[in-house]
Amino acid sequence: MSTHVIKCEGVSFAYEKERVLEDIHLTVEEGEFLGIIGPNGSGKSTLIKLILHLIKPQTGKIEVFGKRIQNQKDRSLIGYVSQKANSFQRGFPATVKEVVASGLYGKLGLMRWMKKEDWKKVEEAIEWVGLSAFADRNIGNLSGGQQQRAFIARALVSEPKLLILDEPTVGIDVKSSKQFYDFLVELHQQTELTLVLVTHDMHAAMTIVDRIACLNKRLLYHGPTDHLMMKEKDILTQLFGNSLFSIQENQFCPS
Amino acid sequence: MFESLTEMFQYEFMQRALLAGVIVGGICPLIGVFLVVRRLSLLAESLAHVSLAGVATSLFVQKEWGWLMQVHPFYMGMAFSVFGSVFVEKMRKMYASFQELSLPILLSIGMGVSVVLISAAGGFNADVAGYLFGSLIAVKEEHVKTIAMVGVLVLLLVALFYKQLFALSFDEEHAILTGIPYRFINLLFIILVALVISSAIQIVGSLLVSSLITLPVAASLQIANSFRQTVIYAIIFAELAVLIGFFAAYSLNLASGGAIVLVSVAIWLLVVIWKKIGLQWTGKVARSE
Ligand SMILES: Nc1ncnc2c1ncn2[C@@H]1O[C@H](COP(=O)(O)OP(=O)(O)OP(=O)(O)O)[C@@H](O)[C@H]1O
Ligand SMILES: [Mg+2]
Repeated sequence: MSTHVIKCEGVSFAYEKERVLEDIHLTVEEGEFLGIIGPNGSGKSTLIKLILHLIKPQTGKIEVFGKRIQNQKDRSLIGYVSQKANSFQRGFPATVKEVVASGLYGKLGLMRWMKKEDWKKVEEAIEWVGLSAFADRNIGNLSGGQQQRAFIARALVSEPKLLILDEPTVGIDVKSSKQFYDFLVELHQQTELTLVLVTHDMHAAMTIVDRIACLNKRLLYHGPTDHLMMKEKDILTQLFGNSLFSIQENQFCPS
Repeated sequence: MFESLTEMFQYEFMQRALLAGVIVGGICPLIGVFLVVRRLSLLAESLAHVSLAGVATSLFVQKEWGWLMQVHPFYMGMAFSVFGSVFVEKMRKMYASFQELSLPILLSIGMGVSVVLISAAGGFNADVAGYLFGSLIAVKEEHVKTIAMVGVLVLLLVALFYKQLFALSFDEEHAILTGIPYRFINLLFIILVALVISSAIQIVGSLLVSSLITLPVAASLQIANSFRQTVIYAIIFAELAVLIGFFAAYSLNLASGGAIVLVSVAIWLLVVIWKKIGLQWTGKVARSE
C-alpha cells in the first residue's frame, strides 16, 4: 500500500553531460509539509521539474500519488507556483480574478466556458489567500507578497492535493515574508494539502516545515528539522558555510 | 457635413469598403491585444510585408505569365501571409531563446521580394499604391465576402479559445503545465493573425496595417484595468478610427490607410493626455484633503 504522495527512487538527472542530481531517494507522505533547502544551483528547481514530469530522469523512477505521471490528468492533482511566477510582465492588463481563473483553464478543456460555479471557485480561492478586497485590481498594482498569494490562489483553484512552491518569497521584504509563511502554516493546518516548499530562508524552513531535505546534487539530509539542528549541523555548514550560524544561531534554538 | 455623409453612402463601393472597414476595425485590435501583450507586435509588421510579397508575386505573374495563371493579388497575399505565419511558428521552435529573431528575418525576406518583383512588374503604379497605403475603390465585392468570412472565423475562434489565449499570454510556462494544448493554440493564433493582416491590407495598406493592430491597443492599455476591458476599449478605439478615417478619406480625398492611422494616433494621444490630466487631478484632490 502506498500513502506516499511523492516517491523518488534512485533518481539522477543531467541537462547536458554533467549531472545535476545524483541518486536521490525521497518520499513525501500525505499531509506532510516538506522543506527543501540547498545553495544556488544545487538542483532544487530541477528536482521539482522532475516531480512535475516536465523533464524525465535519466535513471531512477518518480511516482506521484502512487503512479508515474504520464499525461496531463495525472498532473491535475498538483498545484505549482514556479520560481519565476512573479516575473510576469509588469503592466500586463489582467485583474487578480482573471489570473486566478486561468488556473482552471487547463482543466476546463477546449470547448467549455467558465460557469457560475467555476467563478465561485475562483472567488473562494481568492478569499482563501486573503485577497478578496483586491479581486478586481490589476495584478501589477499589488505588492510582491500579494502577487505571490494570487499565484497560490491560481494553483489552489483547481483543488490540488499537493502544492509545490519554488522560492515563493524571493524579492519580498521580511515582514511580508513572515506574513506569507504564517499563511502557509495556516493553509497546512486547515487543509489536507501536502506542501513542498523550496526556500533559501533557513529560519522559515526550520520553523514551519515538518521535515526538511538538504540538497546539493545529492540528498545530504532528509528528516525532521530538530534532528538536523541537534545532530547534523555540519551538513548545514557544508552547504552554506559558517556565516549562517553566527547570524542565525539563536533563532534555531527554542529558548 | 451631413450632406457629404449621406452622399458617401450612395456609392456602392463606399458601402462595400465601409463594411469591410468595420469588420477589419473589429478583428485587428482583437488579435492585436494578444500580440501586444505577448510582445509580438513586430509579427504584424513582418506578416504584412510577407503579404505584400504575395501581392507583388501576383502582379508580376499577371504581367509576365498572365496566360499561365490568374490569382488575384488579394488572395496571393493571403496565401503568402499564412505560409509566413507557419514559418514563424517553426522558427520559434528553432530559436527557442531568441523567439523574436525570426521576425526581422521574415520581414527582410518579405520586403526584398516585394521590392524586386514590384519593380520587375512595371514599378510603382496606382495598383501598387493601393496595396501599400490602402484603397477604398479597390475593394471588390468578393473581397468583402472573404473579409467577412475571415471576420466571422476570427470572432468565433477567439471567443472559443479566449481562455487558452489569455493563459498562454499571461504565463506560458504555467499554461503548458496545466495542460493547455499550446502548440495547437499558438499555431491557430498565428494563422488567424495572418488572415487578419492580409484582410486589413485592402483597407489600410501593408505599410500601415500594424498600426491598426497596435495603436488602439496602446491607447487601451493606458486606461484598462482588466484584460476584458483592454479588448473592449481597443475595439472601440479602432472602430472610431476606421469610421472617422473613412469619412476624412472620402471627403478630403486622402489615402484611407493614412487617414485611419492618423486618427488612431490622435485617439492614442487624447487618451494619454486625458490620463495625465486625470492623474494630476486625483493627485490634487488627494493633496488638498
Ligand atoms: N535548462 C537548463 N539547461 C542546462 N542546465 C541547467 C538548466 N537549468 C538548470 N541548469 C543547471 O542545473 C543546475 C541546477 O539548477 P537548479 O535550477 O535546479 O538549481 P536551484 O537549486 O533551483 O538553484 P536556485 O537556488 O538558484 O534556484 C545548475 O548548475 C544549473 O546551471
Ligand atoms: Mg531554483
